Amino acid sequence: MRDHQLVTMARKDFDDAIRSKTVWALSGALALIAIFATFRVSQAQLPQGFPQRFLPVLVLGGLTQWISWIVCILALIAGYVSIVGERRTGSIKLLLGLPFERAEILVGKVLGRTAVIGVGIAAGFLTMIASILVLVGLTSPLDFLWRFVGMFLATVLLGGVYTTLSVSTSAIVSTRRRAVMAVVALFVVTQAIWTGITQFFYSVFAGGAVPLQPPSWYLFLTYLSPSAAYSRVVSLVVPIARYPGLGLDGVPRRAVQAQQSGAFYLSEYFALLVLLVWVVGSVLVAHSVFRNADLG
Amino acid sequence: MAAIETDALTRRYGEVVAVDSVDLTVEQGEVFGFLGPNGAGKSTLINMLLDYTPPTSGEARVFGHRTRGEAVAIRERVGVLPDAYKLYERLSGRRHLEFVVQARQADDDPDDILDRVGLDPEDAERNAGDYSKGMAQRLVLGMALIGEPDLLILDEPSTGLDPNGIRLMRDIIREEVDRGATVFFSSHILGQVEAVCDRVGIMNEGRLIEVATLDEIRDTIGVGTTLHVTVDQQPDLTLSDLEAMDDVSNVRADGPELTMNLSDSTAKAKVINRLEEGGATVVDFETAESSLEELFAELIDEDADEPEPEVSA
Repeated sequence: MRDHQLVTMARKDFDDAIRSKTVWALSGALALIAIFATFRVSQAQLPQGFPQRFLPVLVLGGLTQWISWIVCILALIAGYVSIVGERRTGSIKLLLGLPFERAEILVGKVLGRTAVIGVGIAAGFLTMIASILVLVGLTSPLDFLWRFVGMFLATVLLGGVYTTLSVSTSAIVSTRRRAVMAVVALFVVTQAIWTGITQFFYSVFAGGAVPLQPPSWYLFLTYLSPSAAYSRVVSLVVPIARYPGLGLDGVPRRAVQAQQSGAFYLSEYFALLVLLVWVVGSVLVAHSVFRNADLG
Repeated sequence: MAAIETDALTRRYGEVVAVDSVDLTVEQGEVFGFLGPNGAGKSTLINMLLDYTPPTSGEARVFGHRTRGEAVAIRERVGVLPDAYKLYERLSGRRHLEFVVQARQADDDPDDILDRVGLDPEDAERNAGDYSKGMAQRLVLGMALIGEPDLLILDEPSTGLDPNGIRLMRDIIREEVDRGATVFFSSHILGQVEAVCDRVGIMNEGRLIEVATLDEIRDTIGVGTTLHVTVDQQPDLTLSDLEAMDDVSNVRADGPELTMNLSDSTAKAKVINRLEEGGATVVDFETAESSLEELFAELIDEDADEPEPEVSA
């Protein structure tokens, strides 16, 4: 892969995808949810001794789960037709007439679409900071700012993971219909029923239901999904799990247990690695198929 | 080194053989017409030359580079106007050209290209989704010219073009050949290939059934120019006397009108001389080029009449 070709491919794809109305509709949804969540936190009853300056960070924590859902949907929708759509319409013939390796097309598209998702996420985050300023107020702006930027970067990474998954899917399948079915399956498996899957594994390998204090290997399984790994990474900058008893959405018991377990594979940095493995793994699988696909 | 070379190149789709063991050589600097009815396998062969489609067996080389594994080296030297493409409807025409300039690391100015293919600079700012087929075709032809490619592969380039557009395309092909480029021009319409091509290859049902110059093809099939002559009186000649002349065949008479086929159109002067020597005055004459469409139809019929070789166990 050559840098110049990657950048050319990514820029073309960015210019194309950024003009998609779907992407802007979903970014709008992210912004609306940001306003709503900020409003809820501003109205919440907080436990005794909870530091007031920590309130804006609480908004970020409360949003983690919502963001991971929206970003997942946004990235899957933005990416699933990226390659199969060009194959079906024939515009891929214009690309393939140019000196691009197929790997450059694949990775260039991942980069371009991730940049588009990044813009959508930035729009959502700007709305979020505006509504925090209005509804909650900032007492220690600097402390909040680095957490905010950290969470933004983690969210772009999550967007990158799901964009990679959807663009990879798009490179593997040969019809739009299959692409839709595949990204719906990805959404269901990684977002909706991941916990159910891990519980099934537990019952097979350990027998019975998952106890209240599960073993570390089970916690590790639950953190293998991109959105769970994301929430783990976010806790680096938004350490909401250190305040058990807040009773907010998005702070599951497991987060606290992972925080307390001390196993290296449950650490935030390991979750970062998990996200990178998703990216690299899906690109490698997609390339092995796309490399020899009949694109005529 | 040939511009294009294929060895027993074959592509099967299940039971269907889209391209059947084609051996084809296109030399550098020539304009090669690639003919055949729709569905003959022309686009599949082009898809294999550019490595859009992997061959089932056999291989192809473009400027000595194998299509499997060296596709990027090939595409660096080839400009393509593909068949059945679609533009990026959310991007402007100009952005399409800029993309190709960047991808080829060329220094072409998009405005020069627009001017060459006759696209209005204002239209170039519009989204390509609004383009007519003719505008799209001009834009993609322009994209193919960027970076002075050594080989132009044009698949049905006249699709959607009006007569002006077709003339412009021919002029561009000639300019490119003068610059030293090789042109591989695929079409199902002979008339378009005739005007620009040195040699033609004819595909039918996946097989390459003929490769020759247009003159050679006319000779093979035995048709060429038809000559109609009107004389004032019966010359002192028989029809067989005329048929005995070189390049003259199939002489028919209908009163004072004679009709004959000439395999070389310059033979008409000899025929007229001979008639006048025989004592008749030629009142009127007219020549007509046999249509290549007829030629084409005849070749394909001939091909279909050949019995399939029988396979024995």
